[in-house]
Amino acid sequence: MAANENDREVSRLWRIVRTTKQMCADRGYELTEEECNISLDSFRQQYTDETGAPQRTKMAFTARPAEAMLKRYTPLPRAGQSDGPEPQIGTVHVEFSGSANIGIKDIKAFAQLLSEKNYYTGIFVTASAPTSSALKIIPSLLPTIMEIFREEDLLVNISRHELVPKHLLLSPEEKRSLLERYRLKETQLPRIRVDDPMAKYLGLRRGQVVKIIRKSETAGRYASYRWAI
Amino acid sequence: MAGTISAKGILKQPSTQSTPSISDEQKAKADRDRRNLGIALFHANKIRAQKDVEATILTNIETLLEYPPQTPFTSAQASTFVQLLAPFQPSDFDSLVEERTLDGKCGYALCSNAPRSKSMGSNAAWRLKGHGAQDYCSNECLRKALHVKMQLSEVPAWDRELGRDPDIVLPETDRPPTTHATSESRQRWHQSSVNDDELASERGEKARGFRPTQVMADTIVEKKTTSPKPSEPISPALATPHDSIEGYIPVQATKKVQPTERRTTFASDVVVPRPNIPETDEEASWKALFENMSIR
Repeated sequence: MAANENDREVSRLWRIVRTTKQMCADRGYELTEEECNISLDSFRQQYTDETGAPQRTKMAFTARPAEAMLKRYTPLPRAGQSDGPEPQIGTVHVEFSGSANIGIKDIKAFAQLLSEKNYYTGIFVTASAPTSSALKIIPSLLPTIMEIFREEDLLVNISRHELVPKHLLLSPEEKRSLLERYRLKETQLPRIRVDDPMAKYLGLRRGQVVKIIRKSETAGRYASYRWAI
Repeated sequence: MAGTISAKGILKQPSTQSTPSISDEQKAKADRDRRNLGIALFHANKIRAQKDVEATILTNIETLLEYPPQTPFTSAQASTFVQLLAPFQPSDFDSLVEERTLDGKCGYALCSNAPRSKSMGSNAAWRLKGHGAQDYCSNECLRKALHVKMQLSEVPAWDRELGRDPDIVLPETDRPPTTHATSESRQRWHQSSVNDDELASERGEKARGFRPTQVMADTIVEKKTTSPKPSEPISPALATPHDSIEGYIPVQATKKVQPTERRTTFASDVVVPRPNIPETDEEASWKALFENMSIR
């Protein structure tokens, strides 16, 4: 009975870890193909103890942004600035927590770890919903960016669903040329909320623009743009 | 004759009359812009004030997570506890209790024991009756926490009027012994502080408070009523019964109310004899009722 339960838990966590890694790879972090599509057997070998129970602490991982991602996150140079601006992205650290209750203390401890190790972004995957006040302190942790995901939201990779169109984050340069091309102000674009599931998947920040490419019966492909707010 | 006419430029001369009209327009626009800026700033300040208060509440919760720093607590700590609670709403108090329980402390912030959900283990859920009883170390602490929570204001701190923070009194057992002796002086102090605020507003200075300066003045000016005297009150005999809708009494489906019982009738009313309704057949009675209504 216990072994059966462990099996269920392992395969559940396997899907969660796989989706998390695919998400990081889709955002542009350096992760290999085999890491993202790990098989259940090798997952079981790596992340379970002798009894077959999964070890969430072992699943934590860190990834560096790839060259293309650094470029996409570099803001436009300002007039009068001699050196190029710093890219607003850095290493990401992902941790998994299986505890039944996530309070202010747990969030603070994770934030402490992030700032100690100098990680730019932290992703905290929790088995249960954090308390409301724990969620409220996240904006006060800036400049560290912390994202919280529920395990059940990562069981399935939503971006691979057939009804979800392809979302592409535009770099500041691409955004500028888009606005110039259509003679728009960014406020005139359609919007997407930053707590939209796909926006959370891509880790969108306020003011970024995504290009959404969907299939169209009449036009073949149809691109639309959304301004994250 | 034609030779005497002096040559005149065909270009439009800058007329002296058009200049003031443009400046009027510009002035109106500038006025409007200034007013819009004022309104925008007012609302931005309001939102800022609200965010500030929310941040204060969060830091207060974090501070109270570590409470009490020592046992037994001192009277100074008790008064800080009361001060920190002042901007709370009851829901904020609930989240404080939740956080403290997760941290393995009694929900009442002046008690450092473990809550019964920790000390009794899994039994606590079914052995303790009453909502939230497991979040406290004892029923005594539960009672004290409820005593404090009842005094918190439902109004969010950013919407409260100046000086309307609730005066929270700790339960008797936790009240510092000095409070009784100095309650009169404390009251006097409160009196004087209120007077200070009033004086400040009289001088036109801003008294401190969470609310930003208002666009509207808070002085109340009595409106002079120029309307004619209100008509004579309707005599009770003519007054419509309580169940009338603008003088019309809806026909009840029950057989108690007969059409003849209606006290007010409209001129356009045509008295239609109600068909005999078999009491047992409900459907037929509704149908008859609809027919009755459609005729009218």
